[in-house]
Amino acid sequence: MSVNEKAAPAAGPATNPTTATPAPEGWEPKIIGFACNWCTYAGADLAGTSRIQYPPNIRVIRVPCSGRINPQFVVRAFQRGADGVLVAGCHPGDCHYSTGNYFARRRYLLAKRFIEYLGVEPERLQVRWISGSEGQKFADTVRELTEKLRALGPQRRLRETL
Amino acid sequence: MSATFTDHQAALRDEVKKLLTDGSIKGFIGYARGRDSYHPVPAIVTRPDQVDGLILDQFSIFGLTKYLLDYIFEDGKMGIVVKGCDALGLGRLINDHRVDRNKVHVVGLPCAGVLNGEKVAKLGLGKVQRVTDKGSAFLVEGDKGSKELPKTEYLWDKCLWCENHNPAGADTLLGSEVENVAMKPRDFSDITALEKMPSAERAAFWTRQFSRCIRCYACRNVCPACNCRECVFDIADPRWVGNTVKLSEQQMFHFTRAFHVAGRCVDCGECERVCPMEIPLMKLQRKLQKDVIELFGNPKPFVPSEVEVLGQFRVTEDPEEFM
Ligand code: SF4
Ligand code: SF4
Ligand code: SF4
Ligand code: FES
Repeated sequence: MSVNEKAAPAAGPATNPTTATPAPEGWEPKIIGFACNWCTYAGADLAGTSRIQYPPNIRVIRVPCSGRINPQFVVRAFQRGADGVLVAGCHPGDCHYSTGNYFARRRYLLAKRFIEYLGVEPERLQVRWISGSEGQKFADTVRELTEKLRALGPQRRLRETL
Repeated sequence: MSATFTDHQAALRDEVKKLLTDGSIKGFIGYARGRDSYHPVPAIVTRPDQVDGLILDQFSIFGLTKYLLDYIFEDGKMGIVVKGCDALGLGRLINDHRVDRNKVHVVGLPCAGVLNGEKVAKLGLGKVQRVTDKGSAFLVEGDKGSKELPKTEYLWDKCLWCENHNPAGADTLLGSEVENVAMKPRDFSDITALEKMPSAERAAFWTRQFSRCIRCYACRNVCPACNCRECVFDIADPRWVGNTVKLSEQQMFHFTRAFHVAGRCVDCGECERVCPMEIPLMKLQRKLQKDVIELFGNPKPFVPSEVEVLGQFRVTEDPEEFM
Protein backbone atom coordinates (compact mmCIF):
# COMPACT_ATOMS: atom_id res chain seq x y z
CA MET A 1 0.00 0.00 0.00
CA SER A 2 1.35 3.41 -0.85
CA VAL A 3 1.46 6.13 1.80
CA ASN A 4 0.15 8.53 -0.80
CA GLU A 5 -3.14 6.75 -1.00
CA LYS A 6 -6.15 8.84 -0.12
CA ALA A 7 -7.38 5.95 2.01
CA ALA A 8 -4.72 6.84 4.60
CA PRO A 9 -5.80 6.79 8.24
CA ALA A 10 -8.23 9.37 9.48
CA ALA A 11 -7.02 12.66 10.90
CA GLY A 12 -6.20 12.90 14.59
CA PRO A 13 -7.74 15.54 16.85
CA ALA A 14 -7.39 18.90 15.18
CA THR A 15 -6.77 21.06 18.20
CA ASN A 16 -4.47 19.27 20.57
CA PRO A 17 -2.53 16.37 19.13
CA THR A 18 -0.90 15.64 22.46
CA THR A 19 -4.00 14.63 24.36
CA ALA A 20 -3.62 11.03 25.40
CA THR A 21 -6.59 8.97 24.33
CA PRO A 22 -6.59 5.22 24.73
CA ALA A 23 -5.81 3.07 21.73
CA PRO A 24 -8.96 2.04 19.89
CA GLU A 25 -10.00 -1.58 20.19
CA GLY A 26 -8.05 -3.85 17.87
CA TRP A 27 -5.44 -1.18 17.20
CA GLU A 28 -2.22 -2.43 15.65
CA PRO A 29 0.91 -0.29 15.35
CA LYS A 30 1.65 0.80 11.80
CA ILE A 31 5.27 1.16 10.74
CA ILE A 32 6.54 2.80 7.58
CA GLY A 33 9.95 1.42 6.65
CA PHE A 34 12.15 3.26 4.19
CA ALA A 35 14.60 0.66 2.92
CA CYS A 36 17.48 1.10 0.53
CA ASN A 37 17.18 -1.08 -2.55
CA TRP A 38 20.63 -2.65 -2.35
CA CYS A 39 20.87 -3.81 1.24
CA THR A 40 17.89 -3.49 3.54
CA TYR A 41 15.28 -4.26 0.90
CA ALA A 42 17.27 -7.37 -0.02
CA GLY A 43 17.53 -8.17 3.71
CA ALA A 44 13.75 -7.90 4.04
CA ASP A 45 13.36 -10.13 1.01
CA LEU A 46 15.71 -12.67 2.53
CA ALA A 47 13.71 -12.66 5.76
CA GLY A 48 10.67 -13.50 3.63
CA THR A 49 12.25 -16.22 1.50
CA SER A 50 13.91 -17.78 4.56
CA ARG A 51 10.50 -17.85 6.24
CA ILE A 52 11.77 -15.85 9.23
CA GLN A 53 8.68 -14.69 11.12
CA TYR A 54 8.22 -11.00 11.81
CA PRO A 55 5.17 -8.88 12.60
CA PRO A 56 3.13 -7.78 9.58
CA ASN A 57 2.98 -4.22 10.95
CA ILE A 58 5.56 -2.78 8.58
CA ARG A 59 4.94 -1.36 5.11
CA VAL A 60 8.22 -1.10 3.26
CA ILE A 61 8.93 1.69 0.82
CA ARG A 62 11.89 0.94 -1.41
CA VAL A 63 14.28 3.81 -2.09
CA PRO A 64 17.52 3.78 -4.11
CA CYS A 65 19.77 4.58 -1.15
CA SER A 66 19.53 5.70 2.47
CA GLY A 67 20.89 9.00 1.15
CA ARG A 68 17.54 9.44 -0.61
CA ILE A 69 15.52 9.39 2.59
CA ASN A 70 14.69 13.03 3.14
CA PRO A 71 13.83 13.58 6.83
CA GLN A 72 10.66 15.30 5.62
CA PHE A 73 9.52 11.83 4.49
CA VAL A 74 9.67 10.75 8.11
CA VAL A 75 7.63 13.70 9.34
CA ARG A 76 5.11 13.16 6.56
CA ALA A 77 4.84 9.43 7.32
CA PHE A 78 3.98 10.26 10.92
CA GLN A 79 1.45 12.83 9.79
CA ARG A 80 -0.23 10.38 7.45
CA GLY A 81 -0.74 7.82 10.18
CA ALA A 82 2.50 6.01 10.95
CA ASP A 83 3.02 5.05 14.58
CA GLY A 84 6.67 4.35 13.93
CA VAL A 85 9.20 4.86 11.16
CA LEU A 86 12.19 2.75 10.24
CA VAL A 87 14.95 4.31 8.17
CA ALA A 88 17.37 1.68 6.95
CA GLY A 89 20.26 1.24 4.55
CA CYS A 90 23.57 -0.49 3.93
CA HIS A 91 26.24 -0.67 6.61
CA PRO A 92 28.78 2.16 6.52
CA GLY A 93 31.35 1.24 3.87
CA ASP A 94 28.85 -0.89 1.90
CA CYS A 95 26.69 1.77 0.22
CA HIS A 96 26.12 0.94 -3.45
CA TYR A 97 26.87 4.59 -4.21
CA SER A 98 29.89 4.57 -1.86
CA THR A 99 28.99 7.47 0.40
CA GLY A 100 25.19 7.91 0.50
CA ASN A 101 24.85 6.35 3.92
CA TYR A 102 27.65 8.45 5.41
CA PHE A 103 25.70 11.56 4.49
CA ALA A 104 22.51 9.91 5.76
CA ARG A 105 24.23 9.10 9.06
CA ARG A 106 25.07 12.75 9.71
CA ARG A 107 21.63 13.85 8.58
CA TYR A 108 19.81 11.39 10.85
CA LEU A 109 22.03 11.95 13.87
CA LEU A 110 20.70 15.48 13.67
CA ALA A 111 17.17 14.81 12.40
CA LYS A 112 16.44 12.14 14.99
CA ARG A 113 17.32 14.51 17.81
CA PHE A 114 15.36 17.29 16.17
CA ILE A 115 12.20 15.24 15.70
CA GLU A 116 12.41 14.24 19.37
CA TYR A 117 12.89 17.89 20.28
CA LEU A 118 9.62 18.69 18.53
CA GLY A 119 7.90 16.27 20.89
CA VAL A 120 7.80 12.89 19.15
CA GLU A 121 8.74 10.02 21.47
CA PRO A 122 12.31 8.90 20.65
CA GLU A 123 11.31 5.23 20.29
CA ARG A 124 9.14 5.96 17.27
CA LEU A 125 11.96 6.67 14.86
CA GLN A 126 14.48 3.91 14.38
CA VAL A 127 17.49 4.23 12.08
CA ARG A 128 19.41 1.03 11.39
CA TRP A 129 21.99 -0.41 9.01
CA ILE A 130 20.75 -3.78 7.71
CA SER A 131 22.64 -5.62 4.98
CA GLY A 132 21.27 -7.92 2.29
CA SER A 133 22.35 -10.97 4.25
CA GLU A 134 20.81 -9.84 7.53
CA GLY A 135 17.29 -11.19 7.16
CA GLN A 136 17.28 -12.04 10.84
CA LYS A 137 18.37 -8.52 11.86
CA PHE A 138 15.58 -7.06 9.73
CA ALA A 139 13.02 -9.32 11.40
CA ASP A 140 14.38 -8.58 14.89
CA THR A 141 14.35 -4.83 14.22
CA VAL A 142 10.72 -4.91 13.09
CA ARG A 143 9.72 -7.05 16.05
CA GLU A 144 11.45 -4.81 18.60
CA LEU A 145 9.99 -1.69 17.05
CA THR A 146 6.49 -3.19 16.96
CA GLU A 147 6.72 -4.10 20.65
CA LYS A 148 7.90 -0.63 21.63
CA LEU A 149 5.08 0.96 19.64
CA ARG A 150 2.51 -1.36 21.14
CA ALA A 151 3.59 -0.14 24.58
CA LEU A 152 3.48 3.51 23.49
CA GLY A 153 0.12 3.37 21.76
CA PRO A 154 -0.97 5.34 18.70
CA GLN A 155 1.19 8.21 17.54
CA ARG A 156 -0.79 11.45 17.85
CA ARG A 157 1.77 14.22 18.02
CA LEU A 158 2.35 14.58 14.30
CA ARG A 159 -1.00 13.96 12.69
CA GLU A 160 -2.69 15.28 9.61
CA THR A 161 -5.11 17.93 10.87
CA LEU A 162 -7.93 19.73 9.19
CA MET B 1 34.35 52.81 24.46
CA SER B 2 34.06 53.08 20.74
CA ALA B 3 32.50 55.35 18.21
CA THR B 4 28.76 54.87 17.76
CA PHE B 5 27.13 54.14 14.43
CA THR B 6 25.88 57.71 14.21
CA ASP B 7 29.50 58.92 14.25
CA HIS B 8 29.92 57.10 10.91
CA GLN B 9 26.78 58.42 9.27
CA ALA B 10 28.52 61.32 7.49
CA ALA B 11 31.36 59.10 6.28
CA LEU B 12 28.85 56.56 4.99
CA ARG B 13 26.93 59.18 3.03
CA ASP B 14 30.18 60.58 1.55
CA GLU B 15 31.28 57.11 0.51
CA VAL B 16 27.94 56.21 -1.08
CA LYS B 17 27.76 59.54 -2.92
CA LYS B 18 31.26 58.99 -4.29
CA LEU B 19 30.51 55.41 -5.37
CA LEU B 20 27.24 56.37 -7.05
CA THR B 21 28.72 59.42 -8.76
CA ASP B 22 31.77 57.66 -10.20
CA GLY B 23 29.58 54.79 -11.31
CA SER B 24 31.26 52.04 -9.29
CA ILE B 25 27.87 51.01 -7.88
CA LYS B 26 24.38 51.37 -9.31
CA GLY B 27 22.63 51.31 -5.96
CA PHE B 28 23.23 51.10 -2.22
CA ILE B 29 21.40 49.10 0.43
CA GLY B 30 21.34 50.81 3.80
CA TYR B 31 18.97 52.20 6.40
CA ALA B 32 16.51 55.07 6.52
CA ARG B 33 14.43 56.53 9.32
CA GLY B 34 11.40 54.45 10.24
CA ARG B 35 8.31 55.32 12.25
CA ASP B 36 10.37 56.65 15.18
CA SER B 37 14.01 56.93 16.26
CA TYR B 38 14.04 53.33 17.49
CA HIS B 39 13.02 51.55 14.29
CA PRO B 40 15.21 52.32 11.29
CA VAL B 41 14.10 50.53 8.12
CA PRO B 42 15.99 49.13 5.13
CA ALA B 43 16.38 51.59 2.27
CA ILE B 44 17.82 51.34 -1.22
CA VAL B 45 19.18 54.45 -2.95
CA THR B 46 20.18 54.68 -6.59
CA ARG B 47 20.91 58.41 -7.09
CA PRO B 48 23.35 60.72 -5.30
CA ASP B 49 20.53 63.12 -4.38
CA GLN B 50 18.82 60.36 -2.36
CA VAL B 51 21.85 59.62 -0.22
CA ASP B 52 21.08 62.13 2.53
CA GLY B 53 18.06 59.97 3.34
CA LEU B 54 20.41 57.22 4.51
CA ILE B 55 20.93 57.06 8.25
CA LEU B 56 23.10 55.06 10.59
CA ASP B 57 22.26 54.77 14.24
CA GLN B 58 22.66 52.38 17.14
CA PHE B 59 19.32 50.72 16.40
CA SER B 60 20.37 49.48 12.93
CA ILE B 61 19.72 45.80 13.54
CA PHE B 62 18.11 44.72 10.25
CA GLY B 63 20.34 42.32 8.28
CA LEU B 64 20.25 43.60 4.70
CA THR B 65 22.15 40.96 2.77
CA LYS B 66 19.12 39.11 1.43
CA TYR B 67 18.19 42.12 -0.73
CA LEU B 68 21.26 41.36 -2.84
CA LEU B 69 19.37 38.46 -4.41
CA ASP B 70 17.10 40.97 -6.12
CA TYR B 71 20.04 42.17 -8.22
CA ILE B 72 21.96 39.02 -9.16
CA PHE B 73 20.70 38.92 -12.74
CA GLU B 74 21.46 42.57 -13.41
CA ASP B 75 24.71 44.13 -14.55
CA GLY B 76 26.72 46.29 -12.23
CA LYS B 77 27.54 46.32 -8.55
CA MET B 78 25.40 46.97 -5.53
CA GLY B 79 26.79 48.54 -2.40
CA ILE B 80 25.71 47.39 1.04
CA VAL B 81 26.51 48.18 4.66
CA VAL B 82 27.23 45.20 6.92
CA LYS B 83 27.92 44.68 10.60
CA GLY B 84 29.94 41.68 11.79
CA CYS B 85 26.96 39.34 11.89
CA ASP B 86 25.68 40.60 8.54
CA ALA B 87 29.08 39.78 7.04
CA LEU B 88 28.53 36.15 8.07
CA GLY B 89 25.19 36.21 6.23
CA LEU B 90 26.91 37.66 3.17
CA GLY B 91 29.51 34.90 3.45
CA ARG B 92 26.66 32.39 3.51
CA LEU B 93 25.17 33.78 0.27
CA ILE B 94 28.59 33.84 -1.39
CA ASN B 95 29.51 30.29 -0.29
CA ASP B 96 26.14 29.05 -1.51
CA HIS B 97 27.00 30.60 -4.91
CA ARG B 98 23.96 32.82 -4.79
CA VAL B 99 25.83 36.12 -4.69
CA ASP B 100 28.96 36.96 -6.67
CA ARG B 101 31.40 38.77 -4.39
CA ASN B 102 32.71 40.73 -7.40
CA LYS B 103 29.31 42.33 -7.82
CA VAL B 104 29.11 43.73 -4.30
CA HIS B 105 30.82 46.71 -2.75
CA VAL B 106 30.89 45.95 0.95
CA VAL B 107 30.97 48.82 3.42
CA GLY B 108 31.89 47.32 6.78
CA LEU B 109 30.59 48.69 10.04
CA PRO B 110 32.61 47.63 13.10
CA CYS B 111 30.01 47.05 15.77
CA ALA B 112 30.08 47.11 19.56
CA GLY B 113 26.48 45.93 19.72
CA VAL B 114 23.06 47.11 18.62
CA LEU B 115 20.44 48.47 21.00
CA ASN B 116 17.15 46.61 21.08
CA GLY B 117 14.78 49.28 19.79
CA GLU B 118 11.73 47.38 21.05
CA LYS B 119 13.01 47.64 24.63
CA VAL B 120 14.39 51.16 24.46
CA ALA B 121 11.25 52.56 22.81
CA LYS B 122 9.30 51.60 25.95
CA LEU B 123 11.41 53.87 28.19
CA GLY B 124 9.70 57.05 27.00
CA LEU B 125 12.88 58.95 26.21
CA GLY B 126 11.24 60.56 23.19
CA LYS B 127 13.04 61.41 20.00
CA VAL B 128 16.67 60.31 20.28
CA GLN B 129 19.16 63.17 20.06
CA ARG B 130 22.39 61.35 20.83
CA VAL B 131 23.78 57.95 21.77
CA THR B 132 27.17 57.66 23.46
CA ASP B 133 29.13 54.50 24.14
CA LYS B 134 30.08 54.44 27.83
CA GLY B 135 31.83 51.08 27.77
CA SER B 136 29.45 48.77 29.58
CA ALA B 137 26.44 50.94 28.75
CA PHE B 138 25.03 53.22 26.07
CA LEU B 139 23.89 56.66 27.16
CA VAL B 140 20.74 57.46 25.21
CA GLU B 141 19.68 61.10 25.26
CA GLY B 142 16.21 61.89 24.01
CA ASP B 143 14.09 65.03 23.96
CA LYS B 144 12.02 63.70 26.87
CA GLY B 145 14.82 62.29 29.00
CA SER B 146 18.10 60.41 29.03
CA LYS B 147 19.25 57.17 30.50
CA GLU B 148 22.33 55.00 30.69
CA LEU B 149 21.39 51.60 29.38
CA PRO B 150 23.58 48.65 30.45
CA LYS B 151 24.59 46.69 27.37
CA THR B 152 23.84 43.35 28.99
CA GLU B 153 20.21 44.39 29.37
CA TYR B 154 19.52 46.48 26.29
CA LEU B 155 21.50 44.93 23.45
CA TRP B 156 20.00 42.21 21.28
CA ASP B 157 20.79 38.77 22.73
CA LYS B 158 23.06 37.79 19.86
CA CYS B 159 25.26 40.81 20.52
CA LEU B 160 26.08 39.50 23.98
CA TRP B 161 27.75 36.34 22.70
CA CYS B 162 28.91 37.88 19.40
CA GLU B 163 32.51 37.15 18.52
CA ASN B 164 32.40 38.67 15.05
CA HIS B 165 32.15 42.37 15.84
CA ASN B 166 34.29 43.38 12.87
CA PRO B 167 32.99 42.49 9.40
CA ALA B 168 35.63 40.46 7.59
CA GLY B 169 36.69 41.25 4.04
CA ALA B 170 34.95 44.63 3.61
CA ASP B 171 35.94 46.89 0.70
CA THR B 172 35.59 49.99 2.86
CA LEU B 173 35.62 50.03 6.66
CA LEU B 174 33.80 52.78 8.55
CA GLY B 175 36.11 53.92 11.36
CA SER B 176 38.46 51.42 12.96
CA GLU B 177 37.95 47.92 14.27
CA VAL B 178 36.41 47.50 17.70
CA GLU B 179 37.50 45.10 20.41
CA ASN B 180 36.31 41.65 19.36
CA VAL B 181 35.27 39.91 22.58
CA ALA B 182 32.06 38.23 23.59
CA MET B 183 30.32 39.84 26.58
CA LYS B 184 29.27 36.42 27.78
CA PRO B 185 29.72 32.87 26.56
CA ARG B 186 27.16 31.26 24.28
CA ASP B 187 24.55 29.71 26.53
CA PHE B 188 22.37 26.76 25.55
CA SER B 189 20.70 26.31 28.94
CA ASP B 190 17.23 27.20 27.61
CA ILE B 191 17.65 24.50 24.96
CA THR B 192 18.78 21.97 27.56
CA ALA B 193 15.73 22.82 29.65
CA LEU B 194 13.43 22.12 26.71
CA GLU B 195 15.24 18.86 26.00
CA LYS B 196 14.66 17.75 29.57
CA MET B 197 10.92 18.45 29.45
CA PRO B 198 8.74 15.33 29.14
CA SER B 199 8.10 14.79 25.45
CA ALA B 200 4.31 15.31 25.70
CA GLU B 201 4.88 18.71 27.29
CA ARG B 202 7.41 19.60 24.64
CA ALA B 203 4.94 18.62 21.92
CA ALA B 204 2.34 20.85 23.57
CA PHE B 205 4.88 23.68 23.77
CA TRP B 206 5.62 23.52 20.05
CA THR B 207 1.94 23.14 19.20
CA ARG B 208 1.31 26.43 21.01
CA GLN B 209 4.11 28.08 19.04
CA PHE B 210 3.47 26.67 15.58
CA SER B 211 -0.28 27.11 15.67
CA ARG B 212 0.23 30.90 15.83
CA CYS B 213 2.19 31.03 12.57
CA ILE B 214 0.46 32.99 9.83
CA ARG B 215 2.83 31.90 7.03
CA CYS B 216 3.92 35.40 6.23
CA TYR B 217 7.35 33.89 5.40
CA ALA B 218 9.16 36.87 6.88
CA CYS B 219 11.47 34.42 8.67
CA ARG B 220 12.36 32.75 5.40
CA ASN B 221 12.68 35.96 3.42
CA VAL B 222 15.12 37.62 5.79
CA CYS B 223 17.32 34.55 6.26
CA PRO B 224 20.61 34.51 4.38
CA ALA B 225 20.76 30.71 4.60
CA CYS B 226 17.20 30.20 3.31
CA ASN B 227 18.16 31.21 -0.20
CA CYS B 228 16.81 28.67 -2.73
CA ARG B 229 15.74 30.06 -6.09
CA GLU B 230 12.47 28.21 -5.78
CA CYS B 231 11.28 27.48 -2.27
CA VAL B 232 9.32 24.28 -1.74
CA PHE B 233 6.64 26.31 0.01
CA ASP B 234 6.10 28.54 -3.02
CA ILE B 235 5.17 25.68 -5.31
CA ALA B 236 1.47 26.03 -6.09
CA ASP B 237 0.69 22.33 -5.82
CA PRO B 238 3.46 20.77 -3.78
CA ARG B 239 1.40 17.61 -3.15
CA TRP B 240 3.05 16.45 0.04
CA VAL B 241 4.40 19.64 1.62
CA GLY B 242 1.40 21.72 2.51
CA ASN B 243 1.31 25.48 2.59
CA THR B 244 -1.82 26.36 4.51
CA VAL B 245 -2.18 27.27 8.16
CA LYS B 246 -3.51 24.00 9.53
CA LEU B 247 -1.40 22.59 12.34
CA SER B 248 0.06 19.61 10.49
CA GLU B 249 1.25 21.84 7.69
CA GLN B 250 2.69 24.30 10.19
CA GLN B 251 4.65 21.46 11.75
CA MET B 252 5.93 20.46 8.33
CA PHE B 253 6.83 24.05 7.48
CA HIS B 254 8.71 24.65 10.70
CA PHE B 255 10.53 21.34 10.58
CA THR B 256 11.52 21.98 6.98
CA ARG B 257 12.59 25.60 7.34
CA ALA B 258 14.75 24.90 10.36
CA PHE B 259 16.25 21.71 8.98
CA HIS B 260 16.99 23.17 5.54
CA VAL B 261 19.35 25.62 7.20
CA ALA B 262 20.83 23.13 9.68
CA GLY B 263 24.58 23.55 9.73
CA ARG B 264 24.32 26.62 7.49
CA CYS B 265 22.50 29.02 9.81
CA VAL B 266 24.75 31.95 10.74
CA ASP B 267 23.01 32.63 14.06
CA CYS B 268 22.00 36.15 13.04
CA GLY B 269 18.70 35.82 14.91
CA GLU B 270 16.83 37.65 12.19
CA CYS B 271 14.19 34.93 11.64
CA GLU B 272 12.97 35.25 15.22
CA ARG B 273 13.28 39.03 15.31
CA VAL B 274 11.11 39.56 12.24
CA CYS B 275 8.40 37.07 13.21
CA PRO B 276 5.20 39.05 13.83
CA MET B 277 3.77 36.21 15.91
CA GLU B 278 6.76 36.02 18.27
CA ILE B 279 7.46 32.40 17.54
CA PRO B 280 10.78 31.49 19.22
CA LEU B 281 12.46 30.29 16.04
CA MET B 282 15.94 30.58 17.52
CA LYS B 283 15.05 27.76 19.88
CA LEU B 284 14.93 25.58 16.76
CA GLN B 285 18.12 26.96 15.21
CA ARG B 286 20.08 26.86 18.44
CA LYS B 287 19.03 23.27 19.15
CA LEU B 288 20.48 22.33 15.76
CA GLN B 289 23.63 24.38 16.47
CA LYS B 290 24.07 22.70 19.82
CA ASP B 291 23.78 19.22 18.32
CA VAL B 292 26.09 20.06 15.43
CA ILE B 293 28.70 21.28 17.89
CA GLU B 294 28.35 18.15 20.04
CA LEU B 295 28.07 15.58 17.25
CA PHE B 296 30.50 16.77 14.62
CA GLY B 297 33.07 18.63 16.70
CA ASN B 298 32.61 21.85 14.78
CA PRO B 299 32.84 24.57 17.45
CA LYS B 300 31.54 27.37 15.19
CA PRO B 301 29.00 26.02 12.71
CA PHE B 302 27.62 29.53 12.24
CA VAL B 303 30.76 30.80 10.51
CA PRO B 304 30.35 29.95 6.81
CA SER B 305 32.91 27.51 5.42
CA GLU B 306 33.39 25.93 2.00
CA VAL B 307 31.59 22.69 2.81
CA GLU B 308 29.04 22.69 5.60
CA VAL B 309 28.48 19.93 8.17
CA LEU B 310 25.71 18.07 6.34
CA GLY B 311 27.64 18.22 3.06
CA GLN B 312 30.52 16.20 4.44
CA PHE B 313 31.24 13.22 6.69
CA ARG B 314 34.05 11.48 8.51
CA VAL B 315 34.13 7.73 8.06
CA THR B 316 35.40 6.68 11.47
CA GLU B 317 35.10 9.79 13.64
CA ASP B 318 31.38 10.44 13.12
CA PRO B 319 29.25 8.97 15.92
CA GLU B 320 27.73 5.60 15.05
CA GLU B 321 24.34 5.06 16.69
CA PHE B 322 22.57 3.04 14.04
CA MET B 323 24.34 -0.32 14.16
S1 SF4 C 1 25.78 40.28 16.61
FE1 SF4 C 1 27.79 41.34 16.73
S2 SF4 C 1 28.07 42.37 14.78
FE2 SF4 C 1 25.86 41.76 14.92
S3 SF4 C 1 24.84 43.55 15.73
FE3 SF4 C 1 25.39 42.32 17.51
S4 SF4 C 1 27.44 42.99 18.15
FE4 SF4 C 1 27.04 43.85 16.12
S1 SF4 D 1 17.85 30.59 10.47
FE1 SF4 D 1 17.56 32.58 11.53
S2 SF4 D 1 19.48 32.86 12.65
FE2 SF4 D 1 19.87 31.29 11.13
S3 SF4 D 1 20.71 32.38 9.37
FE3 SF4 D 1 18.49 32.21 9.05
S4 SF4 D 1 17.64 34.11 9.88
FE4 SF4 D 1 19.73 33.93 10.69
S1 SF4 E 1 7.78 34.95 10.43
FE1 SF4 E 1 6.63 33.90 12.07
S2 SF4 E 1 4.48 33.98 11.41
FE2 SF4 E 1 5.73 34.46 9.61
S3 SF4 E 1 6.01 32.48 8.58
FE3 SF4 E 1 7.78 32.77 9.92
S4 SF4 E 1 7.22 31.76 11.84
FE4 SF4 E 1 5.31 32.04 10.67
S1 FES F 1 22.75 2.05 -1.44
FE1 FES F 1 22.17 1.28 0.52
S2 FES F 1 22.66 3.00 1.74
FE2 FES F 1 23.35 3.73 -0.18
